[in-house]
Amino acid sequence: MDILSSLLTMILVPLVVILATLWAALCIYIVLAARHARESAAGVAQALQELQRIEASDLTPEAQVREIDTLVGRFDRVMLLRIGAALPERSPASEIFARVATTRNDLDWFVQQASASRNPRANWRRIAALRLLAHHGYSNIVPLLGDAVADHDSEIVGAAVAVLGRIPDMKAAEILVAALKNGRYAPSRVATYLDSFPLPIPTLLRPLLHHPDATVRYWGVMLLARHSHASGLEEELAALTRDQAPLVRRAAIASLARVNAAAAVPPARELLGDQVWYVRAHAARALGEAEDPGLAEAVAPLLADREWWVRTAAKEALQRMGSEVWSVLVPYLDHTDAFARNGAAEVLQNIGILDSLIVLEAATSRPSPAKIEMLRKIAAAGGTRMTEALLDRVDKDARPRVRDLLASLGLEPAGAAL
Amino acid sequence: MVLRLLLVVAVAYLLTAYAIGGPLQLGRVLTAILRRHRARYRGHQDDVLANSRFTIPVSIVLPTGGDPRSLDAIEHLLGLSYAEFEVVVVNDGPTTLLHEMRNRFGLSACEVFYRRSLPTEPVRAIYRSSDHRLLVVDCPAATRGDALNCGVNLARYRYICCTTPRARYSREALIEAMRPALEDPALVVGITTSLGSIRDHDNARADTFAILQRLSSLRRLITRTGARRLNLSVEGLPGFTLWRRDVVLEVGGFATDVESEHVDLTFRVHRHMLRKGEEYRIVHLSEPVGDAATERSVAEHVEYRLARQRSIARILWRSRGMIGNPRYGRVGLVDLPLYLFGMFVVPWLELACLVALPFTSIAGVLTGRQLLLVVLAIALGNAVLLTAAMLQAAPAPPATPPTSWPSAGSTSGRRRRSPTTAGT
Repeated sequence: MDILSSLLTMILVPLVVILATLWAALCIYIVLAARHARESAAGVAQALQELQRIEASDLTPEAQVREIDTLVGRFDRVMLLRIGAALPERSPASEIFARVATTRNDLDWFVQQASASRNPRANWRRIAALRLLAHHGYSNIVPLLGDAVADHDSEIVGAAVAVLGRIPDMKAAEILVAALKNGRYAPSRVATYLDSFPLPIPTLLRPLLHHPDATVRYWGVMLLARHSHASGLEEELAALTRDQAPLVRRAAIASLARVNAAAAVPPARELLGDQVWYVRAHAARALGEAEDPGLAEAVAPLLADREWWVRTAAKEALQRMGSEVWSVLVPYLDHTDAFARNGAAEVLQNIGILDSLIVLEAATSRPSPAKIEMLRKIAAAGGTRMTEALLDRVDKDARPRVRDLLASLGLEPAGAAL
Repeated sequence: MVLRLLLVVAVAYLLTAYAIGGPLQLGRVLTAILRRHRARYRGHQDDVLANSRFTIPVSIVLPTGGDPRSLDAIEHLLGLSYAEFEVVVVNDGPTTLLHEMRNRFGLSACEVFYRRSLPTEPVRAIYRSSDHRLLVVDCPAATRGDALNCGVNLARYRYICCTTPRARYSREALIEAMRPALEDPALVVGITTSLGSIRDHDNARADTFAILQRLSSLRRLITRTGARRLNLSVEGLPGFTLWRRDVVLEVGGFATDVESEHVDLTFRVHRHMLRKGEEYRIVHLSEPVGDAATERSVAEHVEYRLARQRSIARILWRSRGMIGNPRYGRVGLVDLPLYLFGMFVVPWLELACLVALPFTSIAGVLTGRQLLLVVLAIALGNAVLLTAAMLQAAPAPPATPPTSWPSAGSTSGRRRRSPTTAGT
């Protein structure tokens, strides 16, 4: 114990001194760092507000450039990088700011910053410099971004992909397409920027349709949906609805429906019987896009599909076809499958047939037996909650008559299939 | 002799935990800050990503719990910047709240046939708004887990985002939180986030308890080793939690008999995926996605903490088969035992050591001067720990959103996210 006591005496005083010093230093650092952060933030916000003011002013372009030049002169290079990282897209003032900032403050330094990260802390500088140079319209920005896309750091790659997606240069699109093919970065993210690329790029995307990797084919098909005028595209997409990979078949039918809904009808009809559920669901949706009530006969059987999401897609497709589908749905109110009955009733509710039928029949003193029978079937297939919801929806004045009519149907609620 | 030895152990433990642990935590925080600095300009507010047809749609589920703040919360959620999402509100509270919702959002009753994949209390009614993204379900759910299950049943999209009326999220919160899933939807099955410190929305001066609550939250932020490794959200400050719908269904949905349904689900997802031997990731995003709307009172806080402690105990008891089980790899051998130790052993151990401290002088283990120095060392170590937490929680300097001009006079920016996306 004596040893422990002397040991404690020996270490406690220095320990307390060290801790007190550390704490004091930490407090000072926090105060200083917070002040620095506030100042930086205020500087960035102030610069952005100034740019906004200049852009909104009635000044001549020359005067605007002069004002921005004065603004740039107030900041050092690192601060300019911070502002560069926060510059809004598609703003003339941003472009002028970037041009003035980089030319006035040694363009090479900015290019050096954008070329490679010396350490992880410089990561943000590289991203900011790339954005600033892209705003500037720097002639060699695409190769710099190409190097960034090949970087091992996913943050750099992500930022480079986002900048490339905004540069109206076919070389930028080529880099993005290559990134999509090599799969080193999330294909969905690359595809996002290719989808909003400022130039038409169907010639770059078409080869993707024949790529050996199904994922690449999938993205090729999805991206080409935007380029509906590309010649021969419909035929190629129709051929891909018979692709081996279900993912590609699903994408092909969805894209074809987007390019030309009418052209998608024959392959979509075939795919309604596909073995893979999501292909059937997209085929149903593709038929829905055609908005042709004549196709309801083909889609309605999917109300009784074994997969829930296919039934949901069929309901959505039928709703898109409009109120004329009601006659196709009536037989499904007697279907042996409870889900099919529910689905048919729900579609009839959503296309407004139920509401108009009940209001019309409630208003007349001699309701039509055929219509009453149909109402009875819908009420039976839809269950109590559907009739309660109906009562809730109808006009307050019409509610008592509707309630009487529902009571006169004389049916016990069937309840919904769960 | 044994008593004296125990007192020595108590002193040694407290000195190690605070006087040495404080500076060690500081080192860890500094490392984290360096990593955050590295990521400061990551993820600009990106209008392309927020509007792309390739951005994975999300179903946001909001159980109201009868909270009147739900009305503002719904409006707030509908204002999120995201390409495609729906808000499924589960009204598990009084009908007065439902009436208010109906008036405010123009809801009309309808019947929706959905698959009851998870058992819940029966749904009383379903309402659609003129805003097609909003669906309100009236369901007398007994617990929050039950209400979440009801929302999951009605959700149409692949990812479920569970929210609370107690929070106000930043406009880009969802796109920021979904980033890991957008980059790797096949692997990312869950994303947990946290809320920032409670904001004084009405500019009211925070009282002492509120300050203590904040400090306590801050401290938890850096002393949650086990929770961090399990990718659990910060205790007491849960932000929103995203789950892949298929995984939620596979594990049987949210537990309806515990308060901490996300902790429970996290454990079950770990167990399920490890048993299946499938690669997966549950990601925790350490930087806040929003702020808590209001503080809890002392009574509420105590009640909440006790309920949570009981709830965690129950969850851990259920997961006892995983603890120390090599079948579950690092989660079973290291993370869960650490979590268990941190949640149930450390608080009582520290309390016992602190109670024992004055007796060291009486028992002659320490002299009066030594005791004073020990207390001072512990206090300073704790101060270092708290200050380190403040350092970590301080928002990074804003890289103001690049896609729109700031409003006049605005100097505030959004917080950046540090890359603590360790997964399994």
